[in-house]
Amino acid sequence: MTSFRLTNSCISVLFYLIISINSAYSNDQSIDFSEQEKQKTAERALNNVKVLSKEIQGLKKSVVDLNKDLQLMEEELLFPSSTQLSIFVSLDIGQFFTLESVKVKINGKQVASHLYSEKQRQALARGGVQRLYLTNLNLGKHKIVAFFTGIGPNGRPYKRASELEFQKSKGSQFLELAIVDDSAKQEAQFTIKQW
Amino acid sequence: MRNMTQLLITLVLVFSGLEKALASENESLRDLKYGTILFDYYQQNYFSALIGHEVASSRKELTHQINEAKLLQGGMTLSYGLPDEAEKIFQQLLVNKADASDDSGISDEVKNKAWFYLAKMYYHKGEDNKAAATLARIQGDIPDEIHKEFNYLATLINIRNTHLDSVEQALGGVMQGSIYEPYLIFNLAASFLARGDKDNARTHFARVIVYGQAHPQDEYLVLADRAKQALAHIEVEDGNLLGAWLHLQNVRTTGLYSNRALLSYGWTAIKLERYNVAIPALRALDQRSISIAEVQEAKVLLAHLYEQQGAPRTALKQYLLAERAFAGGIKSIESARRIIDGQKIPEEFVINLDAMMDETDWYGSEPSLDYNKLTPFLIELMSSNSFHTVLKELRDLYALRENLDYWARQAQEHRLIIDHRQQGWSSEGLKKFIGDTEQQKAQMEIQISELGLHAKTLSVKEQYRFAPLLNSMEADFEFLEKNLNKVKKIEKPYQESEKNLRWMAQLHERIQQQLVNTDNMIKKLESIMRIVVNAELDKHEERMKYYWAQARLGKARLYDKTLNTLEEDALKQVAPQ
Repeated sequence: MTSFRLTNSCISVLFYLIISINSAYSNDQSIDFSEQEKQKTAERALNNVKVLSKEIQGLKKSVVDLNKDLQLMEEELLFPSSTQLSIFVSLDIGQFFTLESVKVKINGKQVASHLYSEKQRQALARGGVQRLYLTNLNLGKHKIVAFFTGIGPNGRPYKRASELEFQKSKGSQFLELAIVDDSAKQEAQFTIKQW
Repeated sequence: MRNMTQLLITLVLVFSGLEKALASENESLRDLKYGTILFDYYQQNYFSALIGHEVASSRKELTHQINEAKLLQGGMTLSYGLPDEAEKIFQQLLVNKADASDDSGISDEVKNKAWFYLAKMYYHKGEDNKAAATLARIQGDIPDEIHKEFNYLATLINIRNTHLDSVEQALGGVMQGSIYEPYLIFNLAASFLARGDKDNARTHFARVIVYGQAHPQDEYLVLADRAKQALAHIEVEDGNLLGAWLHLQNVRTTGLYSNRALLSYGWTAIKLERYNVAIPALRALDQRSISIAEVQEAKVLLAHLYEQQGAPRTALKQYLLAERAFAGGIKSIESARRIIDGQKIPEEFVINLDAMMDETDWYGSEPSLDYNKLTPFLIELMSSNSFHTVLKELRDLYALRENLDYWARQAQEHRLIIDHRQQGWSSEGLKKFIGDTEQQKAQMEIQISELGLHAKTLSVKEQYRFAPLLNSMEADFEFLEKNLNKVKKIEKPYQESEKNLRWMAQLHERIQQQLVNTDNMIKKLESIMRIVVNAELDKHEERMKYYWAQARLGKARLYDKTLNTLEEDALKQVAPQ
């Protein structure tokens, strides 16, 4: 959400100030170096933007709606709910572990890996959840192994793995790779939760 | 209105002393999809976050954090530049609360945040009274995340509504030590000045300078520079040139605001007849880019100053150099015009705007890209809100076009998948596949049993070596058999339903429609951008031509003077004879 700083009215007061400070000395700054008609055309053009702005808002909204429908349709087409598996990554606080990368293997095959930027780490630490991977999987038993690398306590490189055997049943299935700070042990716990 | 102000002050003061009283949320009751929306939102990917919200809502995946998600949707919508839609969302959330009984599940925290964001939006729209009334609706504890901003907004609204006493009270209390403090003091000083209260304006501008000294971060130093210039202006208005000059002496000589400061400094020194101190300031300006208005004026003024000081040769040289600089400046404007006429330039300019704006000094570095040549002429234009709106809208439209282009490519893939599914399998095809596979399976069965028998003829050691291979082959065969049995059970191959196909076709058509709409809108805004930029370049050209003419006049004057002197000397020499 937008932030404040100098308010518009104060910016215009300031602008007036720095313009007028020179005009107080010389006449040059008060000279209108422009053809009136052209400047008026430019002003009219800028005023038109206010009218267009309403249309642009409508366009943006309809493109968001279209994206929603397209995503729903595409998932239905490519990842039907009967076979769909989604893998998410979450981070709770992250005081004892700085996440650098995640690698995921399903049934022994590497299917996903991700290297995190500072912005993404911050988003995770503030409660964001990343959808890491979306795939189709047969019904039945499967095994997932997740490898986490990063910086652990005392700034040392840290590598941990977590695994889970799970049953893929009918309907969409969600797995969460959760990194949770354990204050008692002063280290992070790595788990795979089934939703 | 007075009651409303009092209420605002009361709110600001009362909430300042409140303890953090947010109850911890039940961690187990959270929506995974709400988290994914937050993930995009915190990275400021508002477009993706909004789509994520729409998808999750339509699937009813936001069951535990419905109100928080609605609030977030309002915030994202606002951040994405859809204020009208955001207003509807916030109002919907708040109206629901008003209609529902107390156990409706909407917490005071969510409600208060919604009132706050709504008030903030009204404030930005310039609807100050509405903003004040909306902010006054906040009751009970203020959520921690918005506490500081709430106080700040309340103070800003008081400034706009010229309740300056309340602002001073807030500055002495709740806003003390806040990151917003120097901005509020500056805004307050500007408001005093606008009302003609110069004494109070002076006091508060001076406070901004002191703040800059205590917090020497660039952000606050820039603000302090502005305050010094404002103080100089007040002194000039009061006829106290020496006072103005003293303030201008302390403005930094680098950065965006240094040009005007240097020119003002030069002029004040001239008025005080301290020509020697005016020259270094004007020389500093003389080294800068010709696209800056102050530099153009300084070039001619410097030559004029040399002339006044009785140094005609230096003055003439300065006039000649100025002429050359103006000729170069006019060429730069012509090249800027050609650039803006280029088809792709508005897009590249808008997309790279952030990177360009982040540069501390446009004059310092030599631009490497074409569109950078355009920017020095547009600094003043950039500070205009309406032009900035054009750029922001254009940037969003380019992003929309990119998104729709992506979907247009995806649409081709969707069709490919469907065609393949429709053509690839039929009941007949399936029957044939099963028949062929069964034949292959029978042959493989024979081969495996032959291999087993053959292995038995080998030595015990060799048999021991081959056993794992045979076992693994048998396991693979079993897997194949299992899958074949599954396929045999299929009565009819899978086909997309007619309904889905129709839906897909409609969506693909909508992509094309929106692409056309987006392109049209882009064309309209690009045309506005070109008109405005060209008008700005016209202004620059006129100004530059004016100073160029001044430089020519100065040069001609000096030549005349020299000729006159030569003639006079010649006459003097002739006269005694």
